[in-house]
Amino acid sequence: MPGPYRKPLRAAFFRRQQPSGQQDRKGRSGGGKAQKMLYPTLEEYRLTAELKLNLEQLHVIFAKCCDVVHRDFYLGQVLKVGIIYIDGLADKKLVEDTLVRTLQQGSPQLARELADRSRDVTTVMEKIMPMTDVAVVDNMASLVKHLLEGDTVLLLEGYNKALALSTRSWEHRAIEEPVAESVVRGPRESFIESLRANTALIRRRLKTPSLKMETICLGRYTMTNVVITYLEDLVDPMVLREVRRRLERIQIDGILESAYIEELIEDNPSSPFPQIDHTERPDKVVAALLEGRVGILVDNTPFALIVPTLFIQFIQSCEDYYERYYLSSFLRLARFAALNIALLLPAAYVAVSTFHQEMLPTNLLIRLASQREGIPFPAVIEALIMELSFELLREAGVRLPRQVGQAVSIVGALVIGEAAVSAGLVSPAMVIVVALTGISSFALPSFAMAITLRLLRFIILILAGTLGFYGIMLGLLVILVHLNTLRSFGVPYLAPVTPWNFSDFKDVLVRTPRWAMNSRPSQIGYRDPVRQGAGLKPTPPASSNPRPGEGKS
Amino acid sequence: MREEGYISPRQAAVLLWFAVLPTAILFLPSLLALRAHNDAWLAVIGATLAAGVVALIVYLLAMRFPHYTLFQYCELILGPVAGKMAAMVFVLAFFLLDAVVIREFSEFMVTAVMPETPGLFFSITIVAVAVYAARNGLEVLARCTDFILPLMVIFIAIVLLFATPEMSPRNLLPILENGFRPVLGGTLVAWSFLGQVVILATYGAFVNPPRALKASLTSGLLGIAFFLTLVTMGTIFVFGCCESARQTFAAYALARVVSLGQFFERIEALFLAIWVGGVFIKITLYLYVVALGLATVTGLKEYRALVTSLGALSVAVSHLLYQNVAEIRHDLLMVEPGWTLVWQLLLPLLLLIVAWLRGKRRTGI
Repeated sequence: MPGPYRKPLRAAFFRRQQPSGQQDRKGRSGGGKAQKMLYPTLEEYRLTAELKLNLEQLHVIFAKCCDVVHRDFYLGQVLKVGIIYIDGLADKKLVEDTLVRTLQQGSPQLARELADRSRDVTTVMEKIMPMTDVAVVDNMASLVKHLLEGDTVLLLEGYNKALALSTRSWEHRAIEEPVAESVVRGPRESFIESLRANTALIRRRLKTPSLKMETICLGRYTMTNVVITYLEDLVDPMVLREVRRRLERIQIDGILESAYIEELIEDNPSSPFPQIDHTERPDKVVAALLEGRVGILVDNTPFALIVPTLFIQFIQSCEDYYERYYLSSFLRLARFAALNIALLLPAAYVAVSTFHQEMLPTNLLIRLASQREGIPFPAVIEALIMELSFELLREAGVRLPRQVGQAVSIVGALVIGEAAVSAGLVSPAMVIVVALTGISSFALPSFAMAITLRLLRFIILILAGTLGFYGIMLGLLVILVHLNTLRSFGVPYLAPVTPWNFSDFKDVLVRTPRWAMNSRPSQIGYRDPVRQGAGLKPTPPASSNPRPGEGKS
Repeated sequence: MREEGYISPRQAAVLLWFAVLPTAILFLPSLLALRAHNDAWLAVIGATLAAGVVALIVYLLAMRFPHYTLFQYCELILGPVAGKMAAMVFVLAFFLLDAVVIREFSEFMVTAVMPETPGLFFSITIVAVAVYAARNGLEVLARCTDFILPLMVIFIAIVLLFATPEMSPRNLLPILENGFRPVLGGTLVAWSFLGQVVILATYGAFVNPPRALKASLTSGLLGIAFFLTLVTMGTIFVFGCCESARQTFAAYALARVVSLGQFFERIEALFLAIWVGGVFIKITLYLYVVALGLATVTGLKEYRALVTSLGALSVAVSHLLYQNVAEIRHDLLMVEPGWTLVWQLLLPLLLLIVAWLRGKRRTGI
């Protein structure tokens, strides 16, 4: 009798199917190794020359999988073949109308030659296969993989190789307008859940063989395809190698969203700041690739990851590059202000009203003091309550169905905004501060950065309530040091502000005109710094009117 | 013991500003007005000349031992025993200086901002943040400085600009009323601050390329002199020398008189916030240098393990040093000039002379 340790029922079930041995003791000692052996591996199956045996094996592998379709028929009425595909992933119409029909009507002579094994399996491909994307498969593991990716597998009697025919076609969403990053002017396409469609969206914009797309399969069960995409001429090879290294070390059961990968490959996992940008806009990815960055596309995710990511990217919006640069620059500055307001305004209000009243002009001070008169809470508690209820309202509004969401905002605006003030629980000034803070955090183009700021806001708020401006400054210093320690795939997070680079500053707080952006960001696109020719600034054509004084009379 | 990163010559210069200015701006104008009266600005210039000698020594030493820190070439020049002792003197001196800065900071916070909070609280909080920063190394610190510098410069500019209505340049006259003696006294006081440029001998080893150290030293020293002169003149313009001498924190008082368009009446809270940033850099820099020096002397591979305990120790020492802010002022007036003369000027000079006599020199790493 083994010791007190008892394996779970499920594990015991699998162990029974394995060849007898000292499994009990082994299983106890090497936990990781035993875990792997619990699940039957596909490597244990073999593709044989006998069709029946192959099909039996597949039936075992796909036992109780009702969506697997199997059909036997005769190639050219002579050679027995079997096709297997998964209903819903493979294009059924294509398989039925084209594949089966063509093969059945194939020349009997070829079929006879195949049956005699005087021909290789590739002959089928060359002679009668009505498809282009065909792979020869010689082991069960890759056969199953092809099958699960929507390919149709063709097994032939007498051959220990199979053909995987690309018939992938499943229901997916149409390409729609971006939801999270909508623009007034600019392309209206956004990524969808289908990886192939997404790569096509990028390829359509970068018609160059220099655009590379490497695939790597992650997730033991989900087998998610992840595509690393970059422009070979521009990408920093160190960054690329690092991306590959970090992706390859991922051992996980499943990947459902690009966020899984993001959390597994970022530089500082304990930082509250997002270190990898994500976007649903193909044009943004392409812009990033043109700067020498690397894009990571994940199957079943309408978001692409962009690395390396700098802090400054979170206040840039792709529309900045599609509007006039005056407006874009103004909006950038406004967003920068919004960033500061979202982080600091409640804290500054609490600090001024609690510790540094002398900073305010007398009139304003009297006004504020009269408003706060009779409020039962200290300013910091008041601010915390209001901020918290704002966050609750926002969360409720997001989760509720759209029709009910209206009600929440009405209740929120009326109850929290009006009733709380008239009941004398909060001061009107605080409502203004909280509202302004909320609006500012929505003004940031990046949701990920906005959440970070929302969290940090509470910490700074508490610091301000206990220590005034000194507390705010302490909090900011810690954030500053932390931000300076951050790197995204080797690139300092705060570049180009620090380390300072004046040339890169053209695209930070202001967006300089297109004709002035001659170089790529020096930290990322240094391999080919020249983005465009110099002297692109348009000049009016030489005037056809004669200048005064020298004209023809 | 080496840092893994490098800093640019510009960052070295900016760090040098922050190694001197934060406390100097706050304490020096008043002390100078006390000693040199309305010739305080001349004292700053005199001290700059003296600090120039230190800078020259630091540069010559750095050229003899590029990529070596002060603590390392102490041993190279004087041999293992005397070298370690000399390096230890520097470590102790920097440590004491760090403690003084911490105490100056907490005294200022208590006196000017939050009189009811114990000063120890301010010391502990700022040193906690400084420890966090120092553990992240010089490169991170230099980049933090890049952020605080513009704030500091803009703020000084705003204060001086908006204080102009209160200024009367006549306060500067008569120049050299009592001859050079008071100026010399002021120079000695200012020297104890400006001589702190010797710190570049330590972290200057991480400046790349080493030759650029000359530019760092020059622009660093000139920048310090420029800002100090401006602030000193500003306080004398606004308050006159007698009033300046009476204000313990004359620059802070300067911020109090500023009125921005009738709206932001008293911006000293902002002064406080930005100055905290500056003094944070100063404390962190010295903490880092002390940890680096101690690691070098004791032959440790890593300075990081020392930072936390050194930080705690410096808080404790800072509160053993003085009873109150009057003692700090007395120390800055009477003791520091002599002590700094020993370790900031004479000891490096001794190192340089011995190195020259023994023909010691290293090239490359």
